[in-house]
Amino acid sequence: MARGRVDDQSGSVEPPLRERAAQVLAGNVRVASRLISDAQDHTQAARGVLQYLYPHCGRARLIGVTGPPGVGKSTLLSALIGELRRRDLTVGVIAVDPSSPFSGGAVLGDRDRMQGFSGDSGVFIRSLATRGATGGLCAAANDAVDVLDAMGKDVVLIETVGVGQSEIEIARIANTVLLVLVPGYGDSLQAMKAGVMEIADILVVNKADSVGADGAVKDLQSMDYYQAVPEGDEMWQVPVLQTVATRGEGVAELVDEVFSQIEFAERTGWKRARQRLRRTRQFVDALTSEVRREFIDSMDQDIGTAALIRRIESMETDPYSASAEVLEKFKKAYI
Amino acid sequence: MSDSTHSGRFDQALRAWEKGRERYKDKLRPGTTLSGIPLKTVYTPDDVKALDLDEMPGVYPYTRGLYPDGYALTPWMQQMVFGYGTVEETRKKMERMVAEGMEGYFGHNVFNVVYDIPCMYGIDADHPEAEGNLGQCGVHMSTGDDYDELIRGWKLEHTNISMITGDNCLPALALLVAAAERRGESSTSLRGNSMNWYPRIAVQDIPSWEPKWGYALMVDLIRWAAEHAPAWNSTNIFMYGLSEAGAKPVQELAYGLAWGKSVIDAGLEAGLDPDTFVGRLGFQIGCTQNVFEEVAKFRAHRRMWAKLCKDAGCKKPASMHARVHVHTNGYILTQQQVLNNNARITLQALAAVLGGVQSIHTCSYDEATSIPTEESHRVALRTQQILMWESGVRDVADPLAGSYYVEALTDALEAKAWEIFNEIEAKGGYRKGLETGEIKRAIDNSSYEMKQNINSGKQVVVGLNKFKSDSLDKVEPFRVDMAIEDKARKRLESYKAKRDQTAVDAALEKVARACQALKDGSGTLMPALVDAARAGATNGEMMVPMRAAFGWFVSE
Amino acid sequence: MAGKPIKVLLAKKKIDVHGRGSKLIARELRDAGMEVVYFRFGTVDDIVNAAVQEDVDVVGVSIMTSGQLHIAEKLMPKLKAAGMDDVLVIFGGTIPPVDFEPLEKLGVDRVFPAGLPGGVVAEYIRNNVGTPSPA
Repeated sequence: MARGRVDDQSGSVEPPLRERAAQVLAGNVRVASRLISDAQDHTQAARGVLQYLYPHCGRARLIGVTGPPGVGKSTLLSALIGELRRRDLTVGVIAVDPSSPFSGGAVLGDRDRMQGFSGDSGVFIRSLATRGATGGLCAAANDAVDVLDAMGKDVVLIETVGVGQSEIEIARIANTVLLVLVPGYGDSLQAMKAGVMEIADILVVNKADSVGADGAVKDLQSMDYYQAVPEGDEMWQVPVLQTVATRGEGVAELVDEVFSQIEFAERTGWKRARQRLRRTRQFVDALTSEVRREFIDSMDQDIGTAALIRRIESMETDPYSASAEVLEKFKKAYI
Repeated sequence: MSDSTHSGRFDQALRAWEKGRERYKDKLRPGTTLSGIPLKTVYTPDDVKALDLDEMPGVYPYTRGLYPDGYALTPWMQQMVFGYGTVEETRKKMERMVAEGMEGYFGHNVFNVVYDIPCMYGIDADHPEAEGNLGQCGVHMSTGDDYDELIRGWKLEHTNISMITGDNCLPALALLVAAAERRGESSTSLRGNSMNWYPRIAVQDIPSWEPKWGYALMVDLIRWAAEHAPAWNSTNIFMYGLSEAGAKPVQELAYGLAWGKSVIDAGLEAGLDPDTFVGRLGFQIGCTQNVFEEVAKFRAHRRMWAKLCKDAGCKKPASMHARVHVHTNGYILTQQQVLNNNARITLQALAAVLGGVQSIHTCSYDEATSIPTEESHRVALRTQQILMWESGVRDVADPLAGSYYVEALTDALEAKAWEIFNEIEAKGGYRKGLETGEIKRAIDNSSYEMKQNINSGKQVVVGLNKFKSDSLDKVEPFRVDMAIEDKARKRLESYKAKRDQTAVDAALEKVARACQALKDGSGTLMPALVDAARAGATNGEMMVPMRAAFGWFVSE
Repeated sequence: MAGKPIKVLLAKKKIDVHGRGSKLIARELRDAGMEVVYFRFGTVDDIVNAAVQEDVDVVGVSIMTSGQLHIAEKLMPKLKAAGMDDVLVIFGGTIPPVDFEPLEKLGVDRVFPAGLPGGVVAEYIRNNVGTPSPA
């Protein structure tokens, strides 16, 4: 029997796609987990299974948790999971950590901070490395979220470190985004990308028992953030909550607020609009990366593209003209 | 390099020296200390010119040692760590160690007892998570009976008991106090150490109290001990943990002092008079085989701590003494060619003695593989005894004082340590560094750096990356009989059966209320724990309300 | 970076106070291009659940306060029952060399002595992930 992940193109070890999908829908952790890996590897089979799962998505509440390093996100997440479990909800967690740009590897340490749930079959925690690709987070995390959703998890939490693109991208998947800060957040916010505050549906000041907490809350409240619901006049006033995650203080209130936002989003069509945006982006990303892969794959084989590259190199044409040329060919061939 | 203040003869010597090395001096590759301080190949009077060497042992700031005549009055304490199984096995071990000549000051007894992990977490023998861990790597002592047996027959005024607890510091002390009382003695006769080492979680990957309560509990113990057990050392500033986690000697020094300062500050904030408690804070420091760097570290440590104590308002000389127990660093021991470790351990102990510390535990040569066997433990003790009786190193106080090299190195280490210390203090001190994970990151990075240096061969480890053997030594390790687990459970069972359960329950209620009082600032905790111990509560039982009240924190 | 990264679960006993060695191995495996889920376990079930949820290729167990035989005895059958018997299992830490063979007899693929460069462990993993296990 072979060791390690088996390439399922051979079909000899993995069951047929529909059967795999059925197992995921039935809540089989092993199969779901395998599927998340295969989806991250962009295998054909994974896509095939995801097709069967797609109609079953949309039930889970998708909540994103982001913020600069050191604010206690994982501890807060742990407390959130605890509170959700207390309310008898099943939980899936996607914890994202950056891959090293030098080695391509990663240390995924979020799971370690969510202690206490290993014996609980109602909690499924999965760590994902970004693998450095642009839009890579989106694809892998999107698929993982769909798998957990289809599996029947009531809530799916997505956690990322709030630097780089990730926190923006999370907002494209989740319906509710929690931005976690701590008193004295000013410095750490510099490290985040501009515009990060705009993605928050709920602002959370963690470590609220520290000096400056009240000031931080007032500061944030005075900035009067709001989210405008597309296609309408509705507005969601972004609330500022306080938590002390290590003691679970403020967490029940936070969960209440999350459900308020979800209810509001469902009522006003905001959720539908966000999901439409999500799926549109997912479609465009998938199409773009398919096309790109096609071309990268075929660069060597397709004499046409290879010749174009030579012409660009010798200055007979330029990249933009070359690309327009290809697009023309494409249009003629497919339309 | 010539100087008009030199004597003519020194100038001559200097010039001759320069001439003598002309041919090869560009091929030289001078060393660096573990802390990254660059070394010269030769040190001269020029290197100590600017230093203040007008010091004597036993005089502030104690660079040359705490006592006027060093070890002449009494040698260092041989405080070998031991403990496994139930109190019965550990008792036998205590008696054997005494028979082997293990001694404290003035020939008194000194016992450095390590608890098993369940005790450290406050888990009694009947708890499901205790399985597989009872009596392993430490002794399981949780009942009044256990503590009675521990102190049976030892004269308390002549016995130093160090309790290497985990988070159960307060309950363990309470249990010891109750045991002493049952023998008709008061807590004032207790001598020894509580670890009271909450701040170690900055570098240890274990859950523990929330920082706010961790410090509050530390102060509670300190306050109680200052009043009820003035001969008891309330706190152990566990610098060893920092170096074991990867801190370079200078980091161990800097963060260790920051740790100590954070404890002093916490005590002062609680309104304690510095002279009532600072003198009972002790240090446990690591020691590598880098002899001279370690000696410099111990000397710098003493004078830096004295200064911090003075700044904090201490007036009594004894309050400013940095009393140091050295636990030789375990991380430098190898599994490969284990007997090599004896040479390492000898160098470590030598450095500690030359550094003038008060107490030493020497690791055993097989500790990279398991806890010591009888034989390896004895060899470790003999190492100290050979140093003490055969080597002559204890005859003269601070023998390396005046060495151009050692004085220059002491100074350089001190300067670098102050830099790191001031940096962490500017950011809110050790306590803040604990919360943000800054200290852990700095130390993790040093650990990583060292590993890279070892992997590349830049740092040599004999037997590991140089002079290797093909196979590992198949030494039969010390194993704790799993039957011990049953014994521990039975002891607990019979103890619980004979207690007044109602009294215990009432006492634990009181503990829960006292925890609340500690939190809202209206009261203290230790007295309630002592009462609970008197009533028969166990270690684990006392930890339950404590854990409920004081939270559980996993460092970043 | 050839191919997809190898995924490793590095499980350290929760109660083991010193995590220096396992943290270093985690970092070094990352340097070797692997994805390492580093976490602390209480029971053997914790290891198995994590291994399944994370869909790892390798389960590494780090031990400092003995119990290695006890853990291996329970771990191997539980991995099999969870459908993870194609996973590479390695142990390391404060483990006496006399226990290496007994551990391998229990099904552990390899036991590493302390102090080795992470590169050695990475190389072993790369060479043995995806190869047939002994029948």
